[in-house]
Amino acid sequence: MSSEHPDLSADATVASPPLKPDAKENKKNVTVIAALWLVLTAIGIALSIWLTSALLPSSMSTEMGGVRSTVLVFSLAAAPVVAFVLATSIYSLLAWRKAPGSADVPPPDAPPLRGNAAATGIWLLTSSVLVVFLLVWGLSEWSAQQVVQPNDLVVKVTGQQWIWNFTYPDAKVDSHALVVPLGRQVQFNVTSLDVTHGFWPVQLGQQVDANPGLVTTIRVTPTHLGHFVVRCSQLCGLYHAYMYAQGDVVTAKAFEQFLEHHGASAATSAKVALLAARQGGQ
Amino acid sequence: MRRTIGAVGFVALLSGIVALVGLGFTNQTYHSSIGTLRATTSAATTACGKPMVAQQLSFATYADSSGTNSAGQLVHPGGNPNWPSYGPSNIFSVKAHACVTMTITQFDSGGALNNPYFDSIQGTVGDVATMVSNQPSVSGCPSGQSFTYKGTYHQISPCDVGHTFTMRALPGVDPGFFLSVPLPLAGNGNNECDLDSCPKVTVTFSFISGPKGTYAWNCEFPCGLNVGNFGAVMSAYGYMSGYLHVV
Amino acid sequence: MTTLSDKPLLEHTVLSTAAGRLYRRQNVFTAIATGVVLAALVWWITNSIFSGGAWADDMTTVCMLTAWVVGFNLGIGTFNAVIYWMLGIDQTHEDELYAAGVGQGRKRYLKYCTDHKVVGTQYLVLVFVLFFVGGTLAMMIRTQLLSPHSSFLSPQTYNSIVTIHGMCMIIATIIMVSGPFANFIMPIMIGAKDMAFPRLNAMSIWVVISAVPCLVWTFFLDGGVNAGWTTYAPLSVQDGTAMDAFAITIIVFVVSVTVAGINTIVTVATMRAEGMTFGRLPVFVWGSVIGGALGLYAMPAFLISMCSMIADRATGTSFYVASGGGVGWLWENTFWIMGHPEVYVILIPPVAAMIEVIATFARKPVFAYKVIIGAFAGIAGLSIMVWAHHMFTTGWAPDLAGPFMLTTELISIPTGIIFLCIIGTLWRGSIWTRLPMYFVYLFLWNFIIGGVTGIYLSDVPADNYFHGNMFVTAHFHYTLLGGAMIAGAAGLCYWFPKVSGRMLDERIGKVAFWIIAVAFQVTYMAQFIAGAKGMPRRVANYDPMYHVENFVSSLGAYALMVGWMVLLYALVVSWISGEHAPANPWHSKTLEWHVPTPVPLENFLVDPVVTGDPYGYGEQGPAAAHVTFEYDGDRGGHP
Repeated sequence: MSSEHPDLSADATVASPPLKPDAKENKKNVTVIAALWLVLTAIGIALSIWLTSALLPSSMSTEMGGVRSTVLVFSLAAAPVVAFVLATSIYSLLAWRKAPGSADVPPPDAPPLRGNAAATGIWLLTSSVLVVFLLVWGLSEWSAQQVVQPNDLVVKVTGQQWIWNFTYPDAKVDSHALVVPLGRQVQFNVTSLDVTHGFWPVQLGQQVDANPGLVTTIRVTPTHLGHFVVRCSQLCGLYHAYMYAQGDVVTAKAFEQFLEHHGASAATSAKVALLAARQGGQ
Repeated sequence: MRRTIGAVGFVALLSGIVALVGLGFTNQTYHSSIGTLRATTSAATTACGKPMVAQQLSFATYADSSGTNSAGQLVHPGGNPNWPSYGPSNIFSVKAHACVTMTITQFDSGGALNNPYFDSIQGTVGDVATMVSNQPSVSGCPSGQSFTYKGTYHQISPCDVGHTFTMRALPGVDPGFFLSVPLPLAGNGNNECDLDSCPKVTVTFSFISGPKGTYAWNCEFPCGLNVGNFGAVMSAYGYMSGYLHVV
Repeated sequence: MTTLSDKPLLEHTVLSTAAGRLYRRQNVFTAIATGVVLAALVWWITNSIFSGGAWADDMTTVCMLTAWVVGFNLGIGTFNAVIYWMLGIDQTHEDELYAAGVGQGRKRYLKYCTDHKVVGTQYLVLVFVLFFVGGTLAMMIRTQLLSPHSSFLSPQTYNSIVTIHGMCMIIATIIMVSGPFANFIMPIMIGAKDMAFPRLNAMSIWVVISAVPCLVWTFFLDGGVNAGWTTYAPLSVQDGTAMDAFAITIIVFVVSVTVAGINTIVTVATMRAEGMTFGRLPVFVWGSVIGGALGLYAMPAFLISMCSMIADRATGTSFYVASGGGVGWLWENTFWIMGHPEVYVILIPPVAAMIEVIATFARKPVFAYKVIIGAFAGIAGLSIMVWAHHMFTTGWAPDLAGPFMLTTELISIPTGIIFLCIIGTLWRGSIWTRLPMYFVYLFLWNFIIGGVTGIYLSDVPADNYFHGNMFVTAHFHYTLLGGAMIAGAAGLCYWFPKVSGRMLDERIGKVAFWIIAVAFQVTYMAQFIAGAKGMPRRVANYDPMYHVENFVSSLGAYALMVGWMVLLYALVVSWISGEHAPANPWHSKTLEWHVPTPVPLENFLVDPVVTGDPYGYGEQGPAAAHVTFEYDGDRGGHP
């Protein structure tokens, strides 16, 4: 019966005498990994800058500007971390791969490093510093977005299966398209008539769910004229894929015309748009 | 070598199973008894007030999707007797940049919209439609107030709606396109009658079709069950929803 | 197969009674028959009671599927021991041996078998079935998305496929390591003869098997579940009866996970061999315990939310319906209180398994053993306080954005420790690049990308752009498929010789590896790009501006599926006709490699005595030979 148990003493002899890391060898490892790390970090930084500007939509609001800068800064912060993991794992394959004795016999045991307090400490410290940085950056961006400016334009957003519509309470105007004036903070009061939808004006860099029976609020300040898309970002059933609306950031003058076209009296349109002009400096 | 052949065979076998499952799922999609309903082209060279191709398309809404219409066509193959349906097809085809005149015969009863926004017509020529009925009037809402079917309309009371025909393009086709027509309710109470002799209201409107591509239409009147009355028939593809192919 | 007599041992047993004869006939087929009969009966009764009522369909579906699950388990024998106990009949040792499958050959794999190795193997097969179902549904999704305005699937069918693909994969990944390996391998690793509760162990697998048909059946009920695997209320309250079947699936699955989790914890607490102190437990054992404990915390929230979902649907309560005073945010909270810890229930066991792989193939002790155990515990502890990061954009409690950003970003510290320990173990190792090690390197690449893309989502201002968009889809596939499943594949290839008794064909395995590795990057990198450009998730049609990304992603997904099929072929063909595996082909030090292959009933012919931890590679003394086998008089074996 003893034959059914592998002979443990054989394994034991492999390990004798105990192996010790070679200091000179270690120095070489560290140097090459450091070089590899620098190269990969440089590539990571280049990729971060290029991809952030190439992929994300161009900024149409201060909030979208915040998204772009946050993504860029986080990518730059992550680049050295990713580069370190890749550099060491690539180097381990290049330098430490050992040919086995034969097909079924493992290579000889390596020096038993059961831990390294300094390495663990540095690692913990570095990751803690990074986390604090991410948090501080995120909170400062976030709190900047919470500032309510006077004379903001209120737009009521109603989601229902599978259409958006927008009401401008000041001008008593309903619209299927979302038109907002340039340079003036817009407050969206978002609600739903049936299930949960996600109100996401894509290029404005903000979103909030539309919940039945509740009103949720987000604010954006458009900074560039142009066209944007409002998407539903929360699966809402059959025609979720078709639940979108068109949006435009327009000048105060064009905004006034838009309100008039949708049935607001000329006086009301001018009043609502005038506030926009005052704030936007148009 | 043997194992290479084995691997290829094994992958082919499993891929075959995957493909069969795929076929099973495509067959689940709704196919109407008559397939795509294509618009007919009339001889007129001027339509919608401009020189352009004039096309006509007629279909109906029925209270009982398991029934048969007066032309003997199944309203909705495999339909549910408690569910209404557009029919006899939910897939339409029209020409691009043409003046399309749609005639929708409404056989179903109705009630109040979730959102009064859909009580007015948007996106048709002149933002109006015309209605004709074999009923002189119907007791609509507020309750007891009589509602008369009269010619051209832009807006109806938000609680006199039977269904709506609401359409937008698939993402990226024609972003600005939006068409919504409320169809007044026909008859009183629960109407289970799908034939020409039944109480009905016929709505006619024209719109200018956009560029080539697919457009999705649905009904915005809450004629289903559960939350918002948008469950059951409203969320089951093919009854109160479909596509318009612009070719 | 076993050194014990294979002769039927029927004298002086319950098995010799009339009830016992029924017992011996029980297998998966009688289970299906009993389940169907009971379901039909209950359907007829409930239908006649509730017919015409407002919630008749929902009530009937719930009662019928409950009857199916009860009937199936009655038919397989889940309740046998309880019934005997209630009748006052004691089971004898021979009964126990019969229940453990002695003398039943391969048929025991189709029966209620208490042997932890049989249960583990049953789990392994179930996991592959679920992955195949989920993968097939993924192919449907990707085929629909090949072109922007495809009409391959109706939008309703598409939504139901998205839902079941998600839930099928979630169930499969939760059990993919904690099912097969925490059952088959973990007890041997700690020197136990079986799990602490062998009958509950068998129950955990057959209960989850009875849940799977309910999940698949949703496709045949009212057009399927259209609310996504997250089944956000009130959309899911609006759904047809398929949602009832979905809820029953989850409730039954939670029972299974709970039973399995308790079993794992109690086994490790009470069944360790002499000398197997907590400080000597292999990392995988710690991973199984922490994963199991976290499941015990997370899953009840799912149970409660699904019960109230059924109440809303079948009895007209309004937990989630605004018109009755309910709120969808309640669902979103309870769902994610389950949903985020659940991610780590999925992740921790395979990563822990992978660390065993790394120690063996780097021929080094695990680097910073105590630190990595602490990291797992830290992840588990933090993971119960991060759920609302899934709700940053819902509008719920905006003032908690800061605290939840903090906890979410803190979790990257213990996650980073896992990378440290992996790199530390590889550091100056003798890297033996066998197939399991290939998957380790793929994990490192995938998981660092999955982790880094997570930090954008953890940050409220950036999440306001990425939430609900394809970027999220790519991110969690990088962590769950690229991370957890790839780590699980490393564990599978590592333990395959012990589980199957055969060596894995690594030539085919490496072909599969390269297809998977490359196709995975193509599939999900393309989705990252589509997401960054603003494409929403879970849409059946999309703007043609994302066509290239989706076309490439679909081709990558097809190749990825082929890669997994090739790996499955390597497993199947090796299991059938591979060369016989020696007891310890990797010259590994953990205990499971020091029992014979195939592993006999009750694992150890003689009881092991542990004298050191199992990572003494390159060391002298007790650490090098950390286990001795002691003569076990009770069993009559000879050392």
